[in-house]
Amino acid sequence: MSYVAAMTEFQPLTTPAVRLSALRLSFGAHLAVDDVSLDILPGDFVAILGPSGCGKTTLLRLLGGFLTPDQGTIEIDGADVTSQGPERRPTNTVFQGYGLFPHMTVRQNVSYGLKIAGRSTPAEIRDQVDQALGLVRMNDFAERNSRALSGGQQQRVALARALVMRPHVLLLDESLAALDLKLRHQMQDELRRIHREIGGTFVFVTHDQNEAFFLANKVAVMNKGRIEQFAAPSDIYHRPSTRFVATFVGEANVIEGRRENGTVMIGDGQFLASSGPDGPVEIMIRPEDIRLGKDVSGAAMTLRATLIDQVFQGSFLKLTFAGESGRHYVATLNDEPRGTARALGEKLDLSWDIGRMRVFDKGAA
Amino acid sequence: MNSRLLAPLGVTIGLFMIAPLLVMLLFAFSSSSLLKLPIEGLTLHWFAALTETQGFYPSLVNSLLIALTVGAASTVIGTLAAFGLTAGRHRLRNVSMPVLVLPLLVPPLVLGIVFLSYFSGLGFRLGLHTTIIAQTVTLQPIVILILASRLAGFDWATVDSARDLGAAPWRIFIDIIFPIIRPTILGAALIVMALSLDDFIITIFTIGGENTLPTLLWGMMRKGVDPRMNACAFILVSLTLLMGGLALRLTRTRN
Repeated sequence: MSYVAAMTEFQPLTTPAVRLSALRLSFGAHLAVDDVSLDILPGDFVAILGPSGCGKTTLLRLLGGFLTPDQGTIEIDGADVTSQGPERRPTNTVFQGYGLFPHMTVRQNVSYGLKIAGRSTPAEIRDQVDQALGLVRMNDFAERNSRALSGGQQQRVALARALVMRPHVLLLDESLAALDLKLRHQMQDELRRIHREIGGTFVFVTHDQNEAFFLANKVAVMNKGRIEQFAAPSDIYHRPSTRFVATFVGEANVIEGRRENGTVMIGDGQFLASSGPDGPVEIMIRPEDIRLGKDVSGAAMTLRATLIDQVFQGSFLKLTFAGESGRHYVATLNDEPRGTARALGEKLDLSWDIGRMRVFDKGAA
Repeated sequence: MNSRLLAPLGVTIGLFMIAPLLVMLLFAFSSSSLLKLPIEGLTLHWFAALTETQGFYPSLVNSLLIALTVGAASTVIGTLAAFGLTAGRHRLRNVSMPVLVLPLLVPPLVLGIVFLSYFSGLGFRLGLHTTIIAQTVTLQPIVILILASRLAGFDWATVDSARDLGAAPWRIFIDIIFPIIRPTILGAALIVMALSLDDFIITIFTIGGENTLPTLLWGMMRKGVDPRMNACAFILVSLTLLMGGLALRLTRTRN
């Protein structure tokens, strides 16, 4: 090891914008957040993705200071804020219901935090509010009563009200869930644009995989209070670390098998080398990784199956097969050549690259 | 039931119920001292006569004083209770709500007797203060019920947002919560004042030697009936309707 390399090892890494260490919080007997540790880097746009009741909103409320953990610590920019309430944290939250003050105008809503802070003159507040409203394209609505706004407009005002405080970390709690699909896509574009324009660290809670992938550069998949995987969207999708992640994010064929002496046996007479303890395992293969036709190279799996259903879905075909053991496989294929119709009951060869399979120990988390 | 019959039937029943009140109010302006129809002419004479009746002004002042004090006291107490109940644990709420609302369910006559024996048991001299206490106890459940139902639909995300923006608890109350629920609080206060103004049963048991308009009216009635009483009733009804109407308007502007 060279002298320079040794030096770099001891150089301090970038301080994470948010560091959660072994966070735990229970409501009565229900463990809402279970041993969560997470480092979020400055500039990250993180999505916390999970089904309802998985603890993702609870985690966000812990981050915002609305809840205090039973155990563990929360650091923001290196400072321990675990015991600080939301009024003292350098975070701001956009709530699911927006929480706009109904008796105030848009401008009064957005000015409120700056007025409380008492560090700016009225003229400065005016400028900053105009800037924030400009960012969310709501300048024309500044003097409107906040009650007279549509859902999407309220969303923008809530965003401006949080951003005007220049939070170190912006928290968004399922903020787009109440909007209709078209408006939601519009707001997703806006959020991406805003993040690009002002930078900063955003943490976003959602149950919508597409939204998470669209917005975030890192996704934390949560289930039953635990973070199952924290990685870039492509890693989450292609290299899920647990069966839950594999099936919650995108579609997956899950095949049960058994591992003995480093070999996994799949029911349909196929074998796969996989290290790990002996016992039942589950093997995942994405529908789009399955091809039609034999592949005799050593790096692929091949099996013969009967076509039992086919659905045309526009950009792709979805085929369902039954293997010899009766197990079903779903494959998605390009509709090439266009208009290809295959007869149901036809026996076809399916193959996929061994490297595309993921093996999970059954019973493990 | 045939729905076509429903509307005329409703109107008839409504008229049947409201007609005596209208007639009673009309007699306040009748030039004859006999309460009989048709009335011969219109006059404001009875209002003048009423004001000359011994004890009228003190009773009016007492009535207003009691209504204002009871309105203010039960609004403060009831609002605080409603907050406690809405924010509190559910187990506690299920028990305390019925207990706090109990005075509404007990017949006023029973309450009147209870208050009388309670105050005399404690050696309290009866007067305005005892009436104010008794009415406040009886009427604050109304405030609790109105406020609790408003707070049940309250958007607590506004409070979370205000906290998030750096506001201290007292600021959140002054800047956010109070302005949002102010119409409801005012409405509840007005309803309580209207009910206090025409309360008779609790008042007669607890007021001792003093009079309010309803007890004065009752005293006058024992010496015979004349249109002064209708004039007095007219004043009471007008005040009550005014407050009730205002309360309805205030509570209805939202939701």
